[in-house]
This record gives sequence, C-alpha cells and structure tokens, in this order.
Amino acid sequence: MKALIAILFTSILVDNFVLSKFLGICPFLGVSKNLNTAMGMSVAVIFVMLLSTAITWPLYMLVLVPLHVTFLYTLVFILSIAALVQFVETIMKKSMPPLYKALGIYLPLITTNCAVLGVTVLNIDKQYDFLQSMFNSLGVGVGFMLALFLFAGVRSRVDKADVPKFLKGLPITLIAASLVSLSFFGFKGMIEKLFG
Amino acid sequence: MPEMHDHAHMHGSSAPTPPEAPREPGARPRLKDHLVWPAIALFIICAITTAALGATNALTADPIAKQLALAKNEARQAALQAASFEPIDLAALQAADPNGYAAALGTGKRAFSEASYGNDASGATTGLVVLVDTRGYADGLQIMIGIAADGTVSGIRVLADSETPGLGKKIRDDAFLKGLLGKPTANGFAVAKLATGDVVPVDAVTGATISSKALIDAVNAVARLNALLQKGGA
Amino acid sequence: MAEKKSWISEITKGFVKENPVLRLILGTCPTLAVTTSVENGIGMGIAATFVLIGSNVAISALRKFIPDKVRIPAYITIIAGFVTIVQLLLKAFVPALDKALGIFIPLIVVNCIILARAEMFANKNPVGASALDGLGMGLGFTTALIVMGTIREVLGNGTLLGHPIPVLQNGGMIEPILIFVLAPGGFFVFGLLVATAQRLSDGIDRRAVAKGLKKAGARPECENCAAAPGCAGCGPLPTGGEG
Repeated sequence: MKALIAILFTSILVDNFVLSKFLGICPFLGVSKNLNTAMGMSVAVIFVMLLSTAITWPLYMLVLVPLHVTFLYTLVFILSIAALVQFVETIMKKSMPPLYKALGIYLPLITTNCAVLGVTVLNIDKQYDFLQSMFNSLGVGVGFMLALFLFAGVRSRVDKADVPKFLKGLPITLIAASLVSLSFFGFKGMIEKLFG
Repeated sequence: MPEMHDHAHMHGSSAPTPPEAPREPGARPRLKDHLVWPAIALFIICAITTAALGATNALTADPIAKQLALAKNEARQAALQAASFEPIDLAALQAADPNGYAAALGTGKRAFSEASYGNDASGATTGLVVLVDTRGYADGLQIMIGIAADGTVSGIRVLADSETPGLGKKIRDDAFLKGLLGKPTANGFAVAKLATGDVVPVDAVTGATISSKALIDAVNAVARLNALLQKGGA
Repeated sequence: MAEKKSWISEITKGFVKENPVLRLILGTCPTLAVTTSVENGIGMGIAATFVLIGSNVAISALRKFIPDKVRIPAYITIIAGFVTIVQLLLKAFVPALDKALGIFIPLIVVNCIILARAEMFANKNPVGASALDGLGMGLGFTTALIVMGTIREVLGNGTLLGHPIPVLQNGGMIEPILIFVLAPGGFFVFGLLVATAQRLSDGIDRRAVAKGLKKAGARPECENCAAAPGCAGCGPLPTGGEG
C-alpha cells in the first residue's frame, strides 16, 4: 500500500507530467485560459487516462507479449486511445450535452495529448503491475489537473498586467510557466523523506 | 459554436464532409457507397501497416538483440576485466538463503538484476560483477559493479539513470567514482560526512547527496553479496 | 494561398513564417524535452522529419482511397506505422539515440505537426508537393530544435554537441547556468524564442507590404500606416492633414 501511495505522490508532485516531464503542454497552454474549461478538460483527461490504462495494460501483457509482437505497441495503444476518446465523445454527446458543448474541440484533441499516450507507455516502461499502473495514471491525471489549475490562476493575473509588446501573448505565458515549474522543484527529494 | 483554437484546424472531426459525386439513377452500386466500406478500408490499412511492421521487425530483431548483448557485455568488461563471464543463478541463491540474500540487498529500493563471475583465459576467477537496479532521485538507476578477487572495487559503470542533469548525473563522472575504485570493500563505504569507524569515506557529488548515496549503497550491497557467495563456497 | 507556390517556397516556408513549433505552436512537448543537448535535438528532428515525409507521401497517395469517415484513425494508423519503423531502426542501429530520446520516440505519433500536415495538406495535394511540405515542416522543426538546443546546452552545460567550450566550463570565465537544461529553463527559452519568431515574422510581413506599396507608388510614411495593406495608394498629401 505504501508503495502505491508513493507512486501517487511521485506522479502528482515530483514527476509532474506537465511541469517536469513536458508532456501535455499543448492542452496545458491552450485550455488554461479559462478555469471552468480547465476543470472540464482535466476531468475528461483523468477519465480517459484511467480507461486507457485499463485497456492498454492488459492488451500489452495478455496479448502482445505472449504473441511476441510487442513492437506493435505504439500502433495498438494509440488506436485504443483514439477509439476510447471517440466512445467518450459519443456518450458525452448523448448524456451530458452541456459539458460536451463546453469542451468543444478539446475533447477529440485528448487523442493527441502526449500525456495520455505517455502515461500508458510509461506504465509499461516502469514495469508496473496493473494496480500500480492505475495508481500512476490517476496520479498523472491529478497532477495534470493541479498544474492546469495553478497555471490558470497565474494566467488570469498575467493577462491583467502590462506586458511589453515583445512578450505579449504566448511568450509571457511560457515564462510564467517556467516560474511555476521552478516552484515544483521544491518537491524533489520529498518521496525519500516521506517514504524512506 | 466551439471556440476555434490554434489546434482546431488540425483535427477537423467537426469539419463538413466533402460531398461525393452524385450517381446517375440506375447505375450499379459502388463499393464505396456500402455502409461497411469505411470499416473495411480502415481494416485494410491496418493490415498493410501491421504487415509492413512485421517485416521491419523481422529485419531488425537480430541487430537489436546484438546491440543489447553488446551493451551488457561492454558494461561488464568496464566493471571487471575478464576473458569470459559465468552467470550466477540469483534466484536459486535467494531460494536457498532468503535471509542472507535480503540482508545483502539491504534496505531501500534495490535489486540485483544479474550477477556473473569473471574468468580469465586460464579459467581462474578474476572477480564478481553485478548489475544493480536501484533508485536515486528517480527510478531506473542501473549500475554495473565489479569486485576483484582481492576484495577491492574493480570497476563501476552507470548504465542508465534519470538523475538530474548537472547534479545527480555527475555520479557517472570519474571525479566521483575514483573515491570508490580500487578501495577495499571489507568494511563498506559511506558518504564522507556520515562515515564512522572503519567505514571508507567517499566524497559525495556537491548538491547530489541522494544520488551519491544511492550509488554507494549499491556498492555496499554488492560487497555483501560477494561475502555471501564466498561464504557459500561458490 | 491560391497563388502557385514554387517548390522552394514550399520548403522554406517552414523556417520562419510557418515554423511549426515557434509560429504554429505545434509539437511543443518534444521541443521542450529533447533540447537539453543539440545532438538529441538533431536526432529527434531527423526522426520526426522521416515520419513526416513518409506519412505525408503515404496519405497523399491514398487520399482518394481513404473514406472521409475514418480518415483520422487511418492517418493515425499510417503515422504509427512509420513511427514504429523509426523506433525499430533506431534500436537496431543507433541505440544511444534511442536511449537519449526515450519515451519521446513513440510519442512522435501524437506530435501535432504530423497529424496537422496530414489533415491540412497531404489529403488535398499530390504526392510530390506533400513530400516537399513534409520536408519543409520537418526542417523547420529541426531548426527550432537546434536553435533551442544550442542555447540550452551552451548556457546550461557549457558544451556544444558534447564538446566543452573553454570559456564556459567550471574554472572558466563563466560557470554554466544549470537551470537552462532543467524544466523551467526550457519554458523560459521557448517563450523568448516564440517572441523572437513573432518579431521576425512581423518584420517579413512588413517588408512585403512595404515592397508592395512601393510598387503602388507609396511614400515612406505609408510604412507605418495601419491602413497600408489594403490601401490602393494615396494622392498628394493635403496640407496639414494625415496621409
């Protein structure tokens, strides 16, 4: 159990996908303008990550490995994710139309979110078992949400400030992101101290 | 109307379908108009892609295996001079003496991935070389450690790490490793400021105590494994 | 956009004006992650360009065959195929690069640049033009990687392509500034590069407008006039008024 909690904390704070590993930057920059969209997007991402892991991990371990075709994992994983997102989109359209409308174009874009494919590949790389993979994916998704939230707050302040013309728009946003990323450095070494 | 973002133009699943040329009435039904055609087309593309990948895999499987073996062997050689290597069955060792094995591993995240005896041309043992899988600041710290027959550290090679560039990554450098190379393993090693008694002090990398400690602890574990194997009269 | 583009302009558009990373803001993840050294940047650039050209050509060749309903999954399949080929080739023949780029090699499949070019260009244009477009975008991507990699490696590590630079080493005049090869430095350098690319691109635009205006018989004051792009030319300046 301790190991699972350690994995959770590591993926949320220490190895934060957005701020440390540079995964999921495109939606991070695009969606963090509006806090509500950020919330909806993060929840959708967490959901897709968990479902993707639940599908891809068994696919890899129980199908690709025994058949000695592990080299097909990139193809199989991304197609699974694409199918999953399509499925989620259809369900959302039918049963949660306002949320579907609010997310708009961002929902199909989850397919190309490198964080989603990234976490499924990472779980295999780190040789996690199924439960560890699920916890890792949960942590990654929550870390994504955390980064998005913090950044949306920073951005709303930055947008009100008087920015020099050279840096207006995306550049100052990225510089703000660098400072948020720097603040997360404070978490390094935390896992060893907390969990021995 | 969904807000068009920079990326909207790249994923036009909401873009209108370009209309196909209208058929003349009474013309034969085209395969393309069949309801199942999209699925069939997709399946064909998948099949061709998979076949192409299978072919590539067949072509590259051998070179890949060779590369892996080469890398491992080169790492073993760097840690211990030997003409040949004789693998040790760690699983059997652990089964025969679980307590001793666990004591050799010690506390913290660590595992022995593989171990071999090095033999020179005449068959005499030159020492022991072990691949340790452990964690410094990050997971995935793999170190090949060699102990010569006289009980000194014969070589250390960091095979893989995810440590911080400029800080933890410096444990790969000779400047740090020379504090361990050639030194006797009998009493163990420790970071200089924590060393007591007969333990050999080693200067850690400035600002990377955790990474340094992880490597030093790995060397200690291999030393304990060495002692365990010698006790067993292997 | 309707004018005929020479093949040179197909290739060069990817460098500044339509640089996929710095202007279109696509493919940011690998850019930030692999530019800790120029060597890794070049490796990633070449790998991505290979996939880009390959997928552009394949998709363009198949554009009449792929039904519209399943075009995105079809594109993804084809791109994933090329990415896997690159993965296997690297593992077999350049394992050092495979290790250095790590998880970002399979992630080429979700590099927005590749899917964007397939959707925007390859499915509407013949094979030759698509190949050139892939090459141009790939070169633009690689250029951005090299520029960013150079800044980060020189300032953050004191080396270039692995070779130490005397002035910037420990004991030299300036110590390397570690933060540049870490995550925050990546964001920071990227932000400055985006700002610079914007400036350069605006400069190119303004000069093109000025050139066009000169042809139409404009005056020097027109260069900074906001109405210039749509202006057909003015008559003589009224005394004491605006131009």
